[in-house]
Amino acid sequence: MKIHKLLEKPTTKNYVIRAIKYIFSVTPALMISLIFITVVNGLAATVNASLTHITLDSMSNMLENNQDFRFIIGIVALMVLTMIFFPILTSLEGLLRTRITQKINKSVKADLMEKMSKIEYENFDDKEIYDLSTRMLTEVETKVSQTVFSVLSLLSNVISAIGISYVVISLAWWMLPLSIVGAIPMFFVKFKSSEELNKAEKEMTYFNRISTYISNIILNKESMKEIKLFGILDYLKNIWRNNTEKSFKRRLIVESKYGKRGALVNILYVWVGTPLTFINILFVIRGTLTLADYLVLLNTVGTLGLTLVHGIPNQYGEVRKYKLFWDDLSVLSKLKDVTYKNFPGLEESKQFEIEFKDVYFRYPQCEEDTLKGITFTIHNGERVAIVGENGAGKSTIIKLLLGLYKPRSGMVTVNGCEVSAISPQIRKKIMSCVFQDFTKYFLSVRENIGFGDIDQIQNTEKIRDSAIKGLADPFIQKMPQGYDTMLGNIYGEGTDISEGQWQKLNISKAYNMDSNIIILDEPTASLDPIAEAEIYHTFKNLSEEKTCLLVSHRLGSAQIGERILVIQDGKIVEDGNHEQLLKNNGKYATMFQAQSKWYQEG
Amino acid sequence: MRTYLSVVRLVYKSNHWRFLGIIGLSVLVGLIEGLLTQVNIIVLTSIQNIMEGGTNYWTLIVSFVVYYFFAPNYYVYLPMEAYLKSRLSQNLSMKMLNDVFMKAYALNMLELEDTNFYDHISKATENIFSGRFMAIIESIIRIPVLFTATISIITVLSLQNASLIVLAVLGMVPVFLSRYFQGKRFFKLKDVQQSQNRFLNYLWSMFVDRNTNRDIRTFDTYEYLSNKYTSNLEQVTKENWNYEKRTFYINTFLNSFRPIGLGLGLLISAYMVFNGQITLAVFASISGALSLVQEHTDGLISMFSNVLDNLPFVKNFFRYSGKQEEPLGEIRLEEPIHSIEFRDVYFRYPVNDYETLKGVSFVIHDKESVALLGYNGAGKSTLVKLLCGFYKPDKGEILINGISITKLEKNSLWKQMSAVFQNYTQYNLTLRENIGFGTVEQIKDKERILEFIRNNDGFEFVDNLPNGIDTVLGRELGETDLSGGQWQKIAIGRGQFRDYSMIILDEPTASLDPIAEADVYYKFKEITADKISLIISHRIGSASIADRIILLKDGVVAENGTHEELMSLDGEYKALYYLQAKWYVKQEVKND
Repeated sequence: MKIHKLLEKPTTKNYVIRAIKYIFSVTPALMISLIFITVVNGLAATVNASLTHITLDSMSNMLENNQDFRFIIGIVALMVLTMIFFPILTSLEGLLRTRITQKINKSVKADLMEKMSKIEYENFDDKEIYDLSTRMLTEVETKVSQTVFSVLSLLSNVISAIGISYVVISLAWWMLPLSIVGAIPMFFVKFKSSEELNKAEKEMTYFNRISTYISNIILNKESMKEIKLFGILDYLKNIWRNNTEKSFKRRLIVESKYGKRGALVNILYVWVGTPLTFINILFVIRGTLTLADYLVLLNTVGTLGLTLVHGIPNQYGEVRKYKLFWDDLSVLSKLKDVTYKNFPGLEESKQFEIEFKDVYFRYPQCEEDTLKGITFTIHNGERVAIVGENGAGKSTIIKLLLGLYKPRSGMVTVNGCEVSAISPQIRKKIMSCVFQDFTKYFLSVRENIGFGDIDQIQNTEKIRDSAIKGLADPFIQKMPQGYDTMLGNIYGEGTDISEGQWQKLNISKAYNMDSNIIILDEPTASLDPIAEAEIYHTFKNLSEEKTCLLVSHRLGSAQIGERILVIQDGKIVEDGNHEQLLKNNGKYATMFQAQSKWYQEG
Repeated sequence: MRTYLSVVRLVYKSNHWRFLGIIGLSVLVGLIEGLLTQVNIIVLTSIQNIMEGGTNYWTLIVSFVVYYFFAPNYYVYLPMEAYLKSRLSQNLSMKMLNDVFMKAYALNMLELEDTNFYDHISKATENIFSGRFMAIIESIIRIPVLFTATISIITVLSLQNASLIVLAVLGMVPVFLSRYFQGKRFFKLKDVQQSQNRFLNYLWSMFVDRNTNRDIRTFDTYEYLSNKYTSNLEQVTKENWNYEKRTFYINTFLNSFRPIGLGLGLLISAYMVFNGQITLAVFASISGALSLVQEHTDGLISMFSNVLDNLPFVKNFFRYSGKQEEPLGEIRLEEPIHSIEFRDVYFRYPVNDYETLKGVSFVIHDKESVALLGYNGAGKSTLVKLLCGFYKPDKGEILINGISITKLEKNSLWKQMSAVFQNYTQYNLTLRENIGFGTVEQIKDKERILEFIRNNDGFEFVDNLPNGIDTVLGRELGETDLSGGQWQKIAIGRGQFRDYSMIILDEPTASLDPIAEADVYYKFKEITADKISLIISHRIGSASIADRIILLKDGVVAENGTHEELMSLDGEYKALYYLQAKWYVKQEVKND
């Protein structure tokens, strides 16, 4: 059976059907069993009512006709059996639900992980998508399965209601339509309340995000220094409190409104319904209705009432609760995936030429272009440094070169192939990059370094080699499990390392990469002078035969490059080697002098 | 049990009247159920009586009217329960999180360095908003209702025949016991799973977070990470499933006893009818009441076991909130800071087996500026934290104006200080707040902040912000993201927007380009004029802007003097200086 991916274009607007289709595609057998059990369980109330009826009837008979007491024993035994049987079914229902949720958890997560890796990267800059993913991507498997489970519970309640109605009709048919009509107002109340609650949820997300953000700041060891020194705890707590209260209030308003309405409607239902019961008493007294029948009627009308007024509307509300989630999912599934092209011969190339041709680029939701017509070519084996003020566009150039974004106009190519169309598998073999804002993976040391060459992650020798070059091996050797030591505190007892050590791991990762094009994005910001010098020294040797791009503030080290590109306001303003640019007396010269001043004697 | 009571007390403290009101209401609802049961019996009995020719009309009418009036009991209660639950849990969770914040603030900052600390905090806070506390809140609302209802119905039943109750209740005992013992197994499983789940969530977040997702694309680690996630998930799932299966079998076995008890109760009542001891009507009421009792005790037991399952997690919160707080010191600092002395200071991070500072001694005089240099890990940041009073030295003393820092009242100390830390915070709040935090009392003074921005360069970008100084900054909550350099300027601005006698600048130019960096160093003289100051930097060259230089190596002060003095020493400092200088200066003579 074709596995129905969670994020395929939806074939129906009805999210309940989508949910059911999805679960069926993942675990058909368990679903069918669950449906079967739910239906049977729905008959529990009816069976109980019928048995009670028989019991009471036979007891009347017993008194009048001296029926054998043993018959009573038999009936009661039967009742006991059903009282054992149906709860077992309920437990089984719960067990199946758990199992189904577990099963779809695996496929839901797999589908989502794939989608998140395949959509265009610029979606991550989009505020709305960010909001959506924060809102939606928690407890996904529960939301998916509960959509269906609440439908099943609704079904169970409906079956129960139908079964009981049958009993009611057989005793006093006119009670039924009255019960149903009486329950309608509650339907409306529940319907409207769940619609409003959904709307409230969406608004609450905004406040909750702020509260969570503030909460994370307060509970963070880095920010705690500032919080104490500047004395801003109370101020921050107020923001947190205000937003939390706003969020809570938003929900409470709806709940209180409908809590009151619900209570009111229910009171009416009971106070209108109960006199009808009185009429039945008259029938009993008149002799048109036996006492036994009356007792059963009382019971079943009560159960029916509860199901109609509480059970069914509640389950309906539950189902509606998940509409927002599925709406969000639709938006997500409509996001475009990146498409890659096949570039024959690219993977095997040994020589590379990078070209930016009249590239303009703007970040999503930004009003201005960050890059305004960038044009340059880097030939095979060249070492080029990119320098410039903050915000000038240096890191953006790197991101475009890595294919994370596509230029608004113009082209970024490697050997004539459009970079954003190169698949990650091939691209990682050609280019490697050391990021300034690199990720500290709270995984093993091996993984932090090994991600540079994922196919060789088990090759300890290669990793160790890279760590030696990256000056990380010395401190790794001192760690409890060496290269397999877990860093950070995510999984129980981990090891903490310093900023500088993280940076060395990062650089070791770079050495682990075998590509011919190396990109360094401000790699040594936190290193002390000696370590910094060593890194550049080794790097210089490593990049002998390679094409290299270095983004740096340290103009001193930019001299590693035979060529320097100066970026200002999204444009290349200077292009040449160190001596030429100094002679030019332009932007580069100014910046260089600003730094070199400190080292002039006198 | 103690934990449960602590929670109840907590709820009470956060919700005084509401709490009492809810308890009262619940008890009332429960009692009314008992009343209804009794009234029902009376109604039915009088019907039977009338059928047999009696004249109890008034009894019937009166009892029916009473029944009529109280009948909506449960129907009214149910819709209100949801609202009550929300109200209670909201107030409670706010109080608890507030306590968590206050505690984090009051603890010794070394605790925050502890990797396990975040474990504790997350365990403590995770549960505040999760179902775990809700379960306990629910029990606070439900238990009075169920309990009172059960007792009152049983009382009514006992008027008919005492043995009935015994039977009904006896059937519950095995279930009760099994749930209790299961609770312990459950907790052990769940505790381990909490760590595993956190790990899973962490892996999962890599796909969702912008930076890590970028990594996945650049390093092509999609398959590796998704496989890692899936295999970890499978393991957790398997353990969970085995547990669920076992629980199912145990429960099924034990649950069978209850209906048997009920069945016996019914038979006894039936026999009583058979014997003419009670009427059919009474029998019907009894059986109705018996199953109600059953339902309620069922509810009580499941509530009870729910509470038991969740209590151990709640314990984490109390364990955390019971931690000892760091005393703030008694002696207030009333005058500006004019002298700093480290006297033979030793310090070791608990997690290390070696000392970071091994006898650091130096003095900073009034209005002096000192540059602190050293390798990564040499102890510079540690020294700063000790100087700020965030840590206590293990041995030796730190004297501010001659007073030991441990005795100083910290708030008064901090009022005299300002700082730009290395890992400064980028507050996703307004620009006004980011800068205004320097003097939080003046944060509402828009004019003052505007003036500050005007008088300081580097803030030209403010003109481009959509809402001026009221623009919310940052990627997470903000409308505008800023570059590293812009954030750094703001952090420096924050440090400046304050009246201080001492300022600490810890790597204040890491993200700045050369020109902006030079600006900061030029301003350094301005920033530190007439103040006592400490600057930490890796830019050896820039150290010479300070009056004096202290070089930290291997946990001690290796060199201490002016730039000229240290150069003539021909030691560590000189070597480091030339190491960086060679990028910028053509060297005539080089001694390597």
